[in-house]
Amino acid sequence: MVERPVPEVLDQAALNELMAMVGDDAEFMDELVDTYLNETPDLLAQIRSALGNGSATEVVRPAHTLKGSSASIGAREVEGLSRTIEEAARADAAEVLTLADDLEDAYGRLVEALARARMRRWSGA
Amino acid sequence: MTPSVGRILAVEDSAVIRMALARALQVRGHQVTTANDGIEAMEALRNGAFDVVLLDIEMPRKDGFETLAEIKADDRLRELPVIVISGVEDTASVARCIEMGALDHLQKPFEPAVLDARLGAALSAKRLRDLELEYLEQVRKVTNAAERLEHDDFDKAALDEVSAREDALGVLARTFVRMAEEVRAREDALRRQVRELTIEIDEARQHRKVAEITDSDYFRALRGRAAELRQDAHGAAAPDAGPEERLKDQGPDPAPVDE
Repeated sequence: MVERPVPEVLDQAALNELMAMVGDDAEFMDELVDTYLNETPDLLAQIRSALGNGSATEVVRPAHTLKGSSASIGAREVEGLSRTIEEAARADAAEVLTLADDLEDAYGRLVEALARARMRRWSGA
Repeated sequence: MTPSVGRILAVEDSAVIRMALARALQVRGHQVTTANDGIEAMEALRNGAFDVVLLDIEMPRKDGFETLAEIKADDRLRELPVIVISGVEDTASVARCIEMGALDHLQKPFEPAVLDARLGAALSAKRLRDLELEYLEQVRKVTNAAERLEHDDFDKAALDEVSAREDALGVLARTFVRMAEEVRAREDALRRQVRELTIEIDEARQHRKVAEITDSDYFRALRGRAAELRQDAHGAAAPDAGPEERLKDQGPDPAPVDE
């Protein structure tokens, strides 16, 4: 098995860029991250369910959406795993079955990292 | 450079990306409407006016390809600039969208400087196209006016808007209106002259006809005969009064006698 470099859970530089893009509005960032946290468990469930049914093609759309939303908040690890799952599902590769657990673990780490970032009002300091 | 602002329709199925994009656009002064997929996007496009569409490619129900195809097939929407939004690895999809008529593409997550530059360029393209379409519409008004002038149905008010322009087209419209008015005045004067000439010709014709009759031998013979008759009538009335004069001499009728 090929070793992949482990991306950081939350990219603070990306978070800073996002903050600047939305007008340095920490309250809006709260709402945005809450939306992410509300949307993601459902996407993870869709991925898990599609994999359970052996339907790789049904994995593509939730994995794609999760990849995009994770990228926008700097959630690099979840973004990377979602991308790998999406690509594997498109190629109908067996690897996709082993990645669902990794994705859920990564999401757990992300939730903690986001809680810490919220405490800092989303700044890196 | 501050980008110009416009009415943007942002179409994206991810709630997080949609929210972030809408806020980023509002912060930059744009007026933003959002849609979750192609079906909502088409509904918004048919009910509102927009300057640019930011269109995600991968979406449920109706994806970016179908939505773009529908926009380009619609006469009212086909000029609207569409910027497709895509992930880093969606190069083939982006190329397909550009072939289908998309103006440009934006990569997710958005780089603020790139977002501003691409949106600014799309808004400029839209404004230029709007000006071009407006210009062509006003050129059409001038050509229509020329056609109506030929059919003697020219209405000066139809060119008021074009005449108010300060560019060469405005000069052309004002010159056209002035010349049309001169032509109309000349035509009116000619019509009056023709009417007067017609009356004169009719009178002359009548005089000629009378002269033709009165100058004929037959008429002269008739006139001579009439003179003779008048003479005869006078001669007969002088020695012996006519029946009417004789009746006058007898006085009124005697009154009736009761029996």
